[in-house]
Formats: sequence, C-alpha cells, structure tokens
Amino acid sequence: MELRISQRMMSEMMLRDLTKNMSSLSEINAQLSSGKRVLRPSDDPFATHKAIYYRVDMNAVGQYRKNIDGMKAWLGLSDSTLTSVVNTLQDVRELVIQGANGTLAPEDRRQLAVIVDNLRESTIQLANTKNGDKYIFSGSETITKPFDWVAGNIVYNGDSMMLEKNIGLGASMGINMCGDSAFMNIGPSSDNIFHIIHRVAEALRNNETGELQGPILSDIDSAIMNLLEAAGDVGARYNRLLQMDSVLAGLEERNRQELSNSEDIDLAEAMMQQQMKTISFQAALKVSSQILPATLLDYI
Amino acid sequence: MSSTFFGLQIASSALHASRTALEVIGHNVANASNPAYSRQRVELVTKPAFPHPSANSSVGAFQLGSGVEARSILRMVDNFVVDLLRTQRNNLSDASISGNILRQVEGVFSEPGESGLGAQIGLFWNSWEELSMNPEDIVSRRSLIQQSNMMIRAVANTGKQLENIQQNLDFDINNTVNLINTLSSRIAGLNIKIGEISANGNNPNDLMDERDELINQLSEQINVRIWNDSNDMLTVFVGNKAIVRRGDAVDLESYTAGAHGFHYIRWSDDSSPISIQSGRVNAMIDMRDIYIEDAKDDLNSIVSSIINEVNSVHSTGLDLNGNPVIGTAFENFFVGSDFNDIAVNPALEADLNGIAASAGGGPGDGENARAIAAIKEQNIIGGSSTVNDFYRSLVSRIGIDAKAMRDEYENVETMLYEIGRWRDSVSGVNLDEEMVSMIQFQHAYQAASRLVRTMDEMLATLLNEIGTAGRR
Repeated sequence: MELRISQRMMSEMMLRDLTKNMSSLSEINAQLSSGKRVLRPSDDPFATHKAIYYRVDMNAVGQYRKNIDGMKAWLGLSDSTLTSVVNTLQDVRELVIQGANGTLAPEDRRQLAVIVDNLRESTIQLANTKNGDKYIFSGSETITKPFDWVAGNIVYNGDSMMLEKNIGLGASMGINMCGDSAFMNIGPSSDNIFHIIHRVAEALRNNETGELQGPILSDIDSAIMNLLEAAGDVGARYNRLLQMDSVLAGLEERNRQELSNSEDIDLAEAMMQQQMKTISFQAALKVSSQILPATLLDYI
Repeated sequence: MSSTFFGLQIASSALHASRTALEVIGHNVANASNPAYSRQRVELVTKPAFPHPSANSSVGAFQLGSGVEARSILRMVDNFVVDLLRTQRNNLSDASISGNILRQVEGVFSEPGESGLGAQIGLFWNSWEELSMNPEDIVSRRSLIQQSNMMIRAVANTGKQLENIQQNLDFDINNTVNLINTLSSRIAGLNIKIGEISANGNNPNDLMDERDELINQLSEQINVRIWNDSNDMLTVFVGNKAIVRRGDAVDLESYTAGAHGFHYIRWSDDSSPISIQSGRVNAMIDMRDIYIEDAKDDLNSIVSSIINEVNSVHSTGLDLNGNPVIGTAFENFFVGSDFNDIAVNPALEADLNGIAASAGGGPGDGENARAIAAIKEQNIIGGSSTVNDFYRSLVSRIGIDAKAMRDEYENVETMLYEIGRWRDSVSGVNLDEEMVSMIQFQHAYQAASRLVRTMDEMLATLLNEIGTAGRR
C-alpha cells in the first residue's frame, strides 16, 4: 500500500527522530560527565543491586581494617612492653647470681638492693603502660591504673576480661593481655613479679644468700617463662592480624573493582559511542534541513 | 429546445463548483498544520440532464447535460483508525504518567551512590564497630550519635519525598475531575450543534474534528467507549454509564476517603463509584494507593526493624559508668517507630556516657556495641532477610519496574506513532496534492469563464448581424 504522506507528518517524523537522537546523545553525555554508567536504578537494576552490596561491603571491610590498625598498635605495644619486662627480670636475675656470690661484702649487697628497688619501680611502670589514654594490662578497666605498690606489696585494680574486637565478618580476636595473668600468681610460691623483685632486694639487704640461691631464683625463672609465654601469645595474635589484614586488603580491592564494574563507565567505549551519536545527530539535522523545505510550491 | 442562455447556466454552475472546490482547498491548506484537522473534499456531481425534444419523440432526442453541482463537502476520516488512535492515547498517557512517577520514586533513593540510604545504614553499623573498638572514648560515642542522625535524616528524607509524590498525585487527581467535567460538557455542547446541522442534511465537518479531539483528550484521562447515535451525535461511556449522551453530560465529583484522606472520584448524580480501568487517572490512583504506599511500607519495615533490634540489644547493656541501662532513661537507643518519628533517644544525646557499649565489664568492654554491630548480619526483617538485602531488593525492584515502564512507554509510543501515520495518510493534508488540485480547478474556472465569453460573443453575433428588423 502506498502511504499518503502529509507535510505535517513529515515534520513530525523529523522532529521525533531528532528528539530521539538528542535524548540518546544527552544520556551518553550525562554518563561521560558523571563517570557513571548507572545513574539511577532503572539504568541497570541488576548492577544497582550489586553496587549497593559492594559499596556497603567495601565500607564494612574498611572499618575492619581500621579496627585492625588500632589492634596492631595495642598488641604491638603489649608485645614490646612484655619484652622489656623480661629484660628487666633478666637484669634482676644477673644481680641475684652476683649477690649470691659469697665473696661479696654485705655493703655491696646493700648497693645491689638499691638497684633492684629501682628495677622494681620500672617494672611497675612498665606494667602500667598506656596506649593513648588506656591502660593495656587492666582488662576491661582501661581507665584505671592496674598496679599500685601499697605497703610492700602490689594491688591489682584491673579485671581478667578479654576485650574481643571484630576483625572481619564473623571473625573476632582478643586485643589485650590481662595484668593478672601476665604478672600475678607465678611459680611455686604463687607470688607476683613485683613482690618477687622486692624479695630479691630484701634478701640482698639482709645478706640471705641461701634465699637468693634457692627459691627466689626459681621464682624468677618461672616469671620469665610466664612472660615469654604471654609475649608469645601476643605475638601470635599480632601475626594473625597481619594475615587477616592482607586478606581484607584483597577483599577491599575486589569490592572496589566490582563496584566500579557495576556502576562506572568504560571510558573508551563511552567516548566512541558519544562520537557516533554526535555524528548521527548531525546527519539527522542535515537531512532535515534538506528535505523539510521542499514542496511543489518551489517549482510552480 | 433549450433556452438561448442555457450555455451561460452551465458555465455559471462550473464557475460556482470550481470556486467552491478552490475554497475547500484553501481551507485544507490553512489547516495543514492542525493535528486535529481532517482534510475535506468537494463532492462534485453532474446536474440533472434535460430531455431535448425532437420531431418524432415526445421523450426527447437526447439528454442534454445541465452542468455541475458541488453537492457536499466530505470529511476524509476512517472511523476504525480514529478508534484505534483513541485507545492508544489512553494507553500512552497511562504508561507516560506511570513512567514519570516511577522515575521520581527511584530518584528518591539516590542509588547507586554514596549518599544513598544503603551506604548510610552501612556507616551506621560501622560506627557501632568503631564504638566497640573504643568504648571509653567520648569521640567514638559522639560520632555514633552523629552517624545515627545522618542515617535518620536519610531515612526521613526518603519517606517524606515518597509522601510528597503521593500528595502531588492526590492534588492532581482532584484537579482532573474539573478537567473531565469541562471536556464532557464541551462534548455534549458539540453534540447538540452537530445534531442540528446534521438534521438539516449538512456535514458539520469542523465540529466533528473538534469533538474527536475533545474525546481523545478525555480518553487520555479515563477509559471511554463510543456509541454512534442518530444525527451524527455520540454517546460516550465510562464503564457502563454514559458520561455524555447526546446533549447531556453527567459530572464527576471527588470525595475523600481512607486513612490518608486521599481524593477518589465518583458520579455526581447518584454518588455511585466510577469504573476507572486505564488512562492517566487510573495510573495516578494506582501509583498513589498501591505502588508508593508499598514502597513506604517497605521503608518502614526497615526502619522499625532497626529500631526494635538495636533497642532490644542496647537495653541489655551497661553504660560507661557500669550501670545497667534497663529501666533507666538510657534504656532505648532510638525513640519513635517509623520514618516520620525515628530519632536518637534525647537522653543519650544529652549524656553520651549513657550509651550501653558494655555487656558487663569495665569501661573498655565493647561487647554490647559489638553485639549491635552484628545485627547487620541477622535476618531481622520478617525473619528472612538482612536490612541490606531487603533494601537492595526494594531498590532494584523499583528499578526493574521503572525500566519495564520505560520500555512499555516506548512500545506504546511507537504504536501510537504508526497509527498516527495511518490516520494522517487518510486525513492529513498533503500540500503538493492540494497544489495540483488547485491548478486543476483554476484551469476549470478559466475554461468556464472562456465559455461565458464565447456564449456572449455568440449572442452578440446573433443580435448584431440580423439587421434592423423589429426596430422602431
């Protein structure tokens, strides 16, 4: 069937095609200027579904990595502090062996006792180490100073709570080493480290070489062993954190990639499309300008 | 024997017919750009012939033609196409308004993006993680409250924008009643004029064009069916009731009903419900009462689940001073129950130490905060999906619907365009065609004029050449 065509219809067709060209051109321009392929859910509902998931997951993983950073600082400080206490105790042990030597004069022992007293002070200071403004050996009582030297013995003001923190989806880890398990109830005599050191000083002051050679030495050895175990525990946790962090770094990168795949434009392809659409728009304009004005009126 | 001046009569009929034809061409050309106009054509018929008497026949030797007559002016329309066009305009306005509303609805959610509700809710859980890391820090408590308020703003904004769209639709539905009433009374008025002209045996072409256009406009608003009545008058049905019958129109009226006090439409004469099945009004009512209402309900499922779960875990915890919050002003983290009234418990905003991060230990205990952060992984909505999963499927469902409606609109638009071309091929004005007709009738007019002159010369010859006989 041959279709009768009216001038109005022709203008309408041209206008419709021009509008279509123009709106698809403006769409690709909007994509290019925003860098996003998906500007609203209906542009790609499936990609939107994925994008929301990956954005939230990426933020959550970011938070876990932030947690891990905080925990690394805490555990790192615990590790180095425990190592310092071990070193201090080894100094004390040297002095015990030196003081047990029968050739030493009593006044020399008294001098050694002063040194040991100082070492006790610095051990207490180490046990009261703070990470920022939080005591790391207080259990959950992080704003209470855990160790006080009162009337010749130590008082522990913390508790024995393990502070669990999340390091991933459904994965958590204790951040702290409680002061009571690291420093208290050690060896056959169930004594604490600070009192053991105090006993060393007292034995030196009172010339009790027998005491120095016997029970004290084994208590010190138990304390060192206990601290090394604690430091080992902390170190192992620190290593697990590092592993977890690298897993999370991979996950974060994957999320970033997937998020970009779901919503960002492929720049090269979009540029090419924009070129093509511009050309077809210009062609439509040119053709319209040639066809629309022509009527029989031009020739009669 | 015909009259001496009979030739002049024929020429005069030809002049008259050609001039009428040229006038109709002029009317066509003048309306070439009027989309509602149907081209018109003069129907030319020969005038009745006279018997020419002869010597041996009383009936006549032959029939002598007496010229031409412009009998009527026809309107070139195909009623089948007119009906198709009307139905399709109804579908198109339905799809068009639905598509526009869905676009607004999906825009409300600002997804995918950083400012979307999904990201804000995610950051809310993150700030509980942050609090569990540093429960004794006032900074992490403050940032939890700040992020909670940001999430609340995003939720409230989303809900309020959905309500705004509903309100605008309701306003529009109420206004449309007046538009429909104006259209139906104008159609009834045209029916009367058309009936009068048609009863006299004339063609009210232009009035019929105008009436078709008004019915099309009515059809964009609601579903109509047309019944042809006598004398070219039409009866217009909506459902089973006539909104226009011959010269009478029945008004519609709006009334308010339901929990939101929204406007609905009914017949004004007997207050019976009107059966609206398609068209713009139908789409607006569906969007307002079903689609947006559902989206709001889903949003409130998210909000109320978060409020209930967070409060129920929070109430089991201890504040920074080690006191259980249950039974105190600090018991609940949120107050309110939906997106309109959700807020952070003002007692907690006033005293950040009241936030129950601890589950029983000292200030460094963040177990309760950790338990609240874990809610994000629990199926708290209807016992079957997490907040994030539920939200994601809500947004993508709206996206899928908006995309489907956009496709639907394009399909209907293409069909309407094709039907429009069809209608135009019957009823549209082609200027070239009109030019050719114009030249044709111009020549016919010139030839008829020449005939007048020829007859005149013939008569002059007769009168001048027969001498002075009869002169006084």
